[in-house]
Amino acid sequence: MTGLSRRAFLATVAGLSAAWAIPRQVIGDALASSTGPGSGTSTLQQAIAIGPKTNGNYRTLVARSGEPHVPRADLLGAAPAGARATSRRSLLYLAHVTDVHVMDAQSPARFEPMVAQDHELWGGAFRPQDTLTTHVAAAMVSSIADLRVSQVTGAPLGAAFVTGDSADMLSSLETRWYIDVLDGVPITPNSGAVGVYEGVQAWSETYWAWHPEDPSGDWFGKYGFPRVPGMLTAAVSQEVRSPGLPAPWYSVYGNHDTLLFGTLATPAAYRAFAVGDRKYYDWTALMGDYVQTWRADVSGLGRMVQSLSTRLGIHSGSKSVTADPARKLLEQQDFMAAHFETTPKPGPVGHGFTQANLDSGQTYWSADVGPFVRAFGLDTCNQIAGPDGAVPRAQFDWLLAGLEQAAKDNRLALLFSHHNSATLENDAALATAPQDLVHAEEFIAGVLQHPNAIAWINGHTHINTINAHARSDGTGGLWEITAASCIDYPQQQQVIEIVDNRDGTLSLFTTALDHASPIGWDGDLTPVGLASLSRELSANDWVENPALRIGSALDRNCELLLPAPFDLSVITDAAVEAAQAEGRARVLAYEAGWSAS
Amino acid sequence: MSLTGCASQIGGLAPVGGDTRTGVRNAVIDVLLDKGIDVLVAPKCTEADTGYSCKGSTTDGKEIIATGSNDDDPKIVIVVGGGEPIFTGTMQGVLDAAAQATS
Repeated sequence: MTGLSRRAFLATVAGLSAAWAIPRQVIGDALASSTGPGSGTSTLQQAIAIGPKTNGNYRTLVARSGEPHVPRADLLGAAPAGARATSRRSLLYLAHVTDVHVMDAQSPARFEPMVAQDHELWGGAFRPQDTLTTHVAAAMVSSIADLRVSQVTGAPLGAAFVTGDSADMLSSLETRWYIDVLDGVPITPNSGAVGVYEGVQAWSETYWAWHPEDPSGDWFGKYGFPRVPGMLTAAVSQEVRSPGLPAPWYSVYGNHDTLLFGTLATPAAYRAFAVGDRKYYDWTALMGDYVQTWRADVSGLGRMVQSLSTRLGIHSGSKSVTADPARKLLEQQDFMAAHFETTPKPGPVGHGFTQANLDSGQTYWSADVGPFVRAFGLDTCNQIAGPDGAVPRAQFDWLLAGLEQAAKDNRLALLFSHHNSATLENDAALATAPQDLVHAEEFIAGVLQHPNAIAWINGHTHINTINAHARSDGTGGLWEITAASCIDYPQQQQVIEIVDNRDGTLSLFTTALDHASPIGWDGDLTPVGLASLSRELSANDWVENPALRIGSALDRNCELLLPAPFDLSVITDAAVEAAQAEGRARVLAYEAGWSAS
Repeated sequence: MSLTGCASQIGGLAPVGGDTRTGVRNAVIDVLLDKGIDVLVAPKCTEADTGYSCKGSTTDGKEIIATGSNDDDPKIVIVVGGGEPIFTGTMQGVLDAAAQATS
């Protein structure tokens, strides 16, 4: 640690030892050792490809060679200097998680039968891997934990950011599972009857769903999906353990954390379905009753019809299931509040949201992540209707003021939101309460006025995508980085590292991450085996286009260059080393199970 | 309750994902890299009634022009620095080749 004097080094060791309850010798040895690139496996070393057909149209997955970082100089205007790799230093190494879509697949509130009405339109209502989302999430956390030391610079993971759609169906249970998985708290992803799956994948009426016990009579069996006896019971009866994230993590709202099915408002009467004892298998019955709950919301006659139907047991198109009050649907602020029920490590409590957010109802936040970077967690979700988003004017003004202040504070700025530039055009509003909404063109133009905003990191489309937004004066611009998802193929997330090249440029290294489960599923029904199966199932989505979702080679493992927005020599080597020492001490505490800290 | 700006909400129910324009863009990029062309500005694509149009540039100053036909699986033509096309083929063919194992 050449930037620190001996006295400063000893003081750093003493301080970190006290803060993290790690012996001084351990801290000192760790800090004194050279920081080479981290071990672990990412898509730099190994990637996954869709393999040949093995049964009908069904394909399995195979390994293929990894992908090195591809330099992108869209915002430099010229090829980058070759010498930049010789003396670079890391300013922040972070993980990006998005669109995890944790599901309680047995919830009566789900819209699965709608795929029978129009599979392409309602494809998000049912996927064959719906019972396996927590298994995938845990495997993804494992992957991030394996890469807690950067493979590029050796820097410790400094933070993780979750950009929405963490739950799938506005469910308090789903939200709790996602938080617990990221915190490393064991869960059993079941609701209703203990150890018993009650849902559409087990009923004879649901020809439109995959029946792992016997798919011969359903759409998926015709495609070639396999028979996997015991899968549903394994999915809901085993404890799922994740190692927990090794760094503080921050969260923003997604449309699935805001609206029912990420798209629809939730009538008060519909909330009773979620905790009730009927689950639909017929789409006409589901839609009829959903519409009925709207009528119940707005008229006395509607409420009477709703009440009579319930009392007389008029429940065609549905089956009896075990009711569970834990399945209650979230109110708008419940998502924020849930983030305060969390383990103290890795923290922070609230995961970006603060008591001020709870008190005011403001759903966006900012936080300093280390000494050099300020993160802005935005809420781009429309609270009325529609999956796409926009930015309310007040929030946009808040952001621009925040970027200006960050520049004065010599902070690089990162923007985090659920929606991306292709999905910010939603104008839905109540006629009685019109909103002033900012859409993509204005949003980007406004952010580009602040050169310290170097990246906008988001999700929503489930496709790896990296776009460059250049300032018209040739002074650089903004990198927009969209990661895929944990639910649809390729089920990838990413790590991103901000590196100072010490030549007037910055590099943002993006590395796609596959979750830590076997590439080829071998019949294993343990949680890690189920994660592997989920990825294989997702590769066979004939309605969507799995090959589109992997993105191009310029959307996965890249080195995104841009001009440094200010003279980075104001960030001293001593400051960088002190920050990394803090991170390395945190990694040591994590590896010790957070037990003493 | 009446809503404004909701005309597209039914269409918005469709699974979130990419459109054909994204597919054309991704396919064009993958072809360029597969052919060893050093891209400076990644092609950006627009959509019109007649199909798709993409523009980018190489590190040695050549313009990248790509077009995609107005089909569900567009036929893509890519030209670098003028002259003859360096590629003609379908979007899905390129995407599948990138996603699938070669053997």
